[in-house]
Amino acid sequence: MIEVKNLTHYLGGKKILDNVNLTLNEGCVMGLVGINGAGKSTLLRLISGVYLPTNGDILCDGQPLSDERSRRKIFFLPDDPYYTLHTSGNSLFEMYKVFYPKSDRKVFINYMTEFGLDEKKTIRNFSKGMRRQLYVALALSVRPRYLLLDEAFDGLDPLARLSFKKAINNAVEQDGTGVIISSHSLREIEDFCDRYALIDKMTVTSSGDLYERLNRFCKFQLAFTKDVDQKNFYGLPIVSIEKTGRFFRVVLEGKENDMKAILERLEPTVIEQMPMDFEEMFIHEVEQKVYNVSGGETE
Amino acid sequence: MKSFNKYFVYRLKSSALRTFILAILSLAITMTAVPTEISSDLVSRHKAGLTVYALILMVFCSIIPILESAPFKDRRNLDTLYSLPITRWKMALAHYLSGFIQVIVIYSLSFFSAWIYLKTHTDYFSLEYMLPYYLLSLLVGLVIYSLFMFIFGQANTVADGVIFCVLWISVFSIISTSIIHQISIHTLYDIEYSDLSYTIENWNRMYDPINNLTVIFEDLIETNRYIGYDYYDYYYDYTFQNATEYRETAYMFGIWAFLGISATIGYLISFVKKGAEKAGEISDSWFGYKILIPAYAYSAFSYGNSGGILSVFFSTLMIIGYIVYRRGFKWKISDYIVIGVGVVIFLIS
Repeated sequence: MIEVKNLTHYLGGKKILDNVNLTLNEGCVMGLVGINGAGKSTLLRLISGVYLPTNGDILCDGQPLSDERSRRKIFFLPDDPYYTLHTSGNSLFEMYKVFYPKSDRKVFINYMTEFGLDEKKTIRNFSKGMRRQLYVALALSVRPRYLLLDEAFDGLDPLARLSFKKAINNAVEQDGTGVIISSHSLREIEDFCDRYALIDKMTVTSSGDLYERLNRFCKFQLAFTKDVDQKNFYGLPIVSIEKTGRFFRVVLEGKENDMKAILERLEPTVIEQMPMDFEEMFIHEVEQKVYNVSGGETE
Repeated sequence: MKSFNKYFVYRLKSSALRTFILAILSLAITMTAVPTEISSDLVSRHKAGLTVYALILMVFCSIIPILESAPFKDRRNLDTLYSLPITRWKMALAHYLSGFIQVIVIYSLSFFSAWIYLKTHTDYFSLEYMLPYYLLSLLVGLVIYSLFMFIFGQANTVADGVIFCVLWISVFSIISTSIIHQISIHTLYDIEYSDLSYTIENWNRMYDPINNLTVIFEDLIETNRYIGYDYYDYYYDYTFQNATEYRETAYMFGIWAFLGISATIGYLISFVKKGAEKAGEISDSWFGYKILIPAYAYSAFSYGNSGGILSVFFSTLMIIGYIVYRRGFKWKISDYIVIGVGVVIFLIS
């Protein structure tokens, strides 16, 4: 288990993270989300030991990160990883093999083959997506207990994304690997993760089971025969509302049956429940839009 | 220490190609320069090529620290390197040692090849002194290497690091010369420049340990091999001079050993303490521009007193220094204060 306790970090005198608390268990895939500059990459760098925290503790299976044995359980795949003119897949594997005793060359070669990459070629001519695939192959072949992936889906084509997800799922199911993945692609996170952590205003404002969280919301599409004022919806636990002519699309916080019953009182011609997605929940969480009884939108 | 050993071996392996290329290059230079120097009749005695080996040692003790530490100046690289499961102490030590081993390999190949050449092509050198020279030169080389590791380590970018190294090479001699210059202007007596400058310059210049050691061993290896001169007269003169030189050199090596040890400790501490977030940022170390620019500024004003092209040269260097330091023309008040202090010192002196 990775535990982040009361973590505060400054960069260049500016507070980036404030009192962050987070837990990642083995066998879990956590999506780390937040707007640009929220501190997602900084948090991953802190957990991987790249940055030394200003205050607070980070423990890996109960041991501090200063212990090399703890760090050996963690693999960090940065957004833009290191390579030199002469770096090849093989040379990178050799470097990681030095530190990760469970490294498996067969696994590395298998993934490289699956991704259609030559491990002997220098990677300076690889596209960003190919480089990322190479590092994914490395990350999986060194078989860490915890995998930290920063903007992991960036630059991957749809097929590569699919292979990547399959590979991560295998690692989670077979080895019980714990994964933290930061991404702006919320749909990928929703498909892929069972837990989430939202970083906003320098701290983790919301975290937990992704589906449990999503089930707290419901989304409906309504159609009316006459023109209905948005004010009719005031007083309902509305997260967001969107009006197009006589059609409304509303997201509410509450159980779907209860919410449906409430909406039916407005006598719509059609009421249809729609799937709620993570992106809508994210926007709600970040923007903190609240519709109150008196009407009007407040930030 | 298991992770250290593994990383150290990995470092040696990964730098093998670079070491090989540099070793071949230095070997080619040595094997071209040494035979030329031996056969030269422009000198009063046969030369055994020690200045060539010294130059190779100087160059690689300056370049290898830059090559070895450059990856740590790029934040992207640090994401990978610092996330590796090895403590920063061990990583710093592994880079320090593997870099110096590269220096040893490159230098040794040139040195021993030249030694074999001297042994097979000449019979007029005291080659029994070559091995002591080799061992001692490596020791003083380690001092120079440590200083460059420390100086380059103070920078946050490769460009700043290279500039720091270049400026530190001559900063002491520039300051000392400017002080002497001021003293000679403001005293009633003419100070003989060479008397004062001898001690200051020879005790502070970056490469003096290698230079002085080479001079001593040139005397030992080449001293009784003069061409067309009375051997005994020269031998007497040299013996007299050497007595003074040895004593001064002994003091000097004591100071350099202290500086070398301090630089090594300083390098290790700064490597461990420096945050990865500093990479690529403005290099604000006290061993960087903060000291170097005032030092050069003082020299500029000092030389400026007598006018001439030197004042323009140093003033230009200073301005370039500030532009590089602040990455543009947005100077801070402290920068103007530094220049102001320089002017005040100049006016007082």
